[in-house]
Amino acid sequence: MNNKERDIMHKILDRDAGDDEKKIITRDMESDPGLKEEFIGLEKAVRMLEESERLEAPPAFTTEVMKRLTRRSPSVLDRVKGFLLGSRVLRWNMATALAAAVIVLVTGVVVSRMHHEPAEPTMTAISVPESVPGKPEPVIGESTITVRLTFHAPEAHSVAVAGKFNKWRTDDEMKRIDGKWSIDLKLKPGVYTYSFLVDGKSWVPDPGAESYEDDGFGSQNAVLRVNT
Amino acid sequence: MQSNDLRKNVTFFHLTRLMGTTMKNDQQPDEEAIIRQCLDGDKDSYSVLVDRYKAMAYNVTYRMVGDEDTAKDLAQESFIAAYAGLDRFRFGSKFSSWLYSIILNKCRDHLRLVKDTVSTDDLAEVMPDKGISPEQAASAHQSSDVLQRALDALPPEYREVLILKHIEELDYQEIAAITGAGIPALKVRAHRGREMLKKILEKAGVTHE
Repeated sequence: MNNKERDIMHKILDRDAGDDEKKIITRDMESDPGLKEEFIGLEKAVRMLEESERLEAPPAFTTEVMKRLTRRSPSVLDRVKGFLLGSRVLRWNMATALAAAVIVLVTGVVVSRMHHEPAEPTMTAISVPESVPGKPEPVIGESTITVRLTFHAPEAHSVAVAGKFNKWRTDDEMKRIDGKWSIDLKLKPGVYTYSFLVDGKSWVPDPGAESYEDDGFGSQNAVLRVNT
Repeated sequence: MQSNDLRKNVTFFHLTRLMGTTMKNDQQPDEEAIIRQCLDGDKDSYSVLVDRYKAMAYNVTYRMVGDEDTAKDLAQESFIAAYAGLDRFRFGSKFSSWLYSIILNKCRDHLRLVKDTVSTDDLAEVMPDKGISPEQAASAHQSSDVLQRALDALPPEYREVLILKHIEELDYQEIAAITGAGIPALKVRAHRGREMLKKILEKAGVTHE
């Protein structure tokens, strides 16, 4: 058996041989019993491999693998991608729903109080009675004191404040929150007269002011004292 | 009658293998989706891939190491290693090819540890004398696993090519992708492996039909 015959035999076993090569080896095997025996032996070995028993995986194979897996921690990039692009399904039960409702309720109350009833100032700029509608509420700033004026007028469509502090301009609009009008003024310590202009036509002195003085037109202005 | 039954079984066997090959190719997009789910943290999706390839993994490891318990351990470790390294999987390639390479690496590591093999290149001459003994042959006959005994006697490099080529029925191109070896080198290994296997089987008393 020469090398060429050997190569052709293996090409046949690899299913790579052409018809011409198959003819050559068939012809040579007829005249060379040793070559034929060699080829049959090789073919037998290959057939045993090809027809070998296919084993089933042992029982519980998958379960055992899955138990041994450690949960993958996605990379930072994957996490960002997942956060931005991933679809979400909201899953809930009564306990989480109640907890969420309590959180929303408490947050709402806190936010509402922040807007409607601000925290007591750490320093009182002026002394005014408690629970009056126009109670000024001072807040300490760096060089000035912020005073919050409030005015209860649920029927009003607009309320502005004018006074000595803004040279009686009437464009300082107060903000309305639940029928209560409010404005923050940054004022230096001193005494200021002021009044509210309701719906652009009616002047109303602050009902919660500490004191009043005549305006010289037959009416009164509120007096605001801002202390250091 | 017996011969006809055998032929039918063999035909069915080849058909199922051919169908298995086709299925593998069709499953690629589905498998990529599963891998992406796993990468997103959905661990349970991986069980689909384990179920799909557990028989293949177990057969390859068994044929490589010749022991059922070790084969099971190596196959399971291969799946675990594949899962841990999923972020290195190259999308567009076949999961099965990637898994084959992990399985073979696990087997090589194991065989290196147990040192039950001889070096590769000069085996062509050595192997006929290293073939299984008459006692081993008798035992192999009794256990009806002559083939496995013969495979165990081959160096791993030859063994793995014969397993991939003739048991798993992969083409040389895919085997090259799995093993990282060139196709000419793989053909030489198959060539030498077949000749060694033939001699070992003859020594074990397997006669030509």
